[in-house]
Amino acid sequence: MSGIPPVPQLFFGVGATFEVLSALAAFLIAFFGFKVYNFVNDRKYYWFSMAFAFITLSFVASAIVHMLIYLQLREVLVDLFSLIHYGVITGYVILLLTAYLLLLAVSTNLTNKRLLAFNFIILFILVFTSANILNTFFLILLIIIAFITLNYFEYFAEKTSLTTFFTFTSFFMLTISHALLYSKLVLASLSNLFYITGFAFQFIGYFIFLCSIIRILLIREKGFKTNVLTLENASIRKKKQT
Amino acid sequence: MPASGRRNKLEIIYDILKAMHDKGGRIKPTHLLYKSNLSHQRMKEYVDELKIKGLIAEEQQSEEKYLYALTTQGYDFLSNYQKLHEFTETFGL
Repeated sequence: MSGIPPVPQLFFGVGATFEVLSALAAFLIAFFGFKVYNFVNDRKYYWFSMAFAFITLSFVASAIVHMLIYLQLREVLVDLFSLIHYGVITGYVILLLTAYLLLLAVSTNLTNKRLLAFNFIILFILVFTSANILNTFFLILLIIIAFITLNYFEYFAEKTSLTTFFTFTSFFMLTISHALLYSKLVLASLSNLFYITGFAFQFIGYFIFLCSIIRILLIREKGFKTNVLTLENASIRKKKQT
Repeated sequence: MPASGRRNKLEIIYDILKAMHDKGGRIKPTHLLYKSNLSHQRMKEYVDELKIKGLIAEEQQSEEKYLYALTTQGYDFLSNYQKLHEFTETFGL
């Protein structure tokens, strides 16, 4: 989400719907990631889930603003709207920058916390001290997503399957989306079609994520016969220990 | 992205719990060491972590003998493994 471009009113309604669906995809990924983390206790699952949780929040915030515009409440809530809009843009920048940096760290197996913290600090200073925060933010985000896409392309080349192809394609769509959004932001004279197409590509990327996670959730598991006697013994033993 | 050929943590945990399941839900430490294909030190680390997470429990047989037993949560992990594994593969974790 950038400044408010002069696109048809209907677009904001459609955009908000796209964002809600994208938020659902990000939420399901975050939720399942936390589930795996609970079993495995591996920090990379935690950071991966946190990244998608941040993306979920950013989509929800953005959808609220777009819905307010669509419902023409901008004219009614003049002061409140500008406050909400400013708050949402600031939150959006912080959440997305953190989320994609975490994804980059996970996809490159970056485990050095100091190096990660250094990256965060440098990027946040760079964005928030620049003359045009949104331009800098979108450019940095585009570079980060392009690198994540490259990592997922290498992963796909190494482990070729339909699922890894879909993950790579999702990130590739997000790269195109952010390239289009950044172009429109820098060159205001470009057609609004750039903004709308960028938004559509972002939705396609998250729609592929949604399909991937739904496919995983629908997998039928093999039945494992529970040894009731063992379970009873284990619980007795556990009680004795406590 | 994970290096190919090596088992990740999720797969190692699955192998440990599956070995216990295949033995009827209870297994001797020496058998588990053999089945899990890990060094003694690494297996101890995994077993300790699985005990803390409640996926397995220790059953005292006599003064010196004990077995490892799968708990309900352990069975829950095995039942959900296919989904967990697919998630890991899809997102290259």
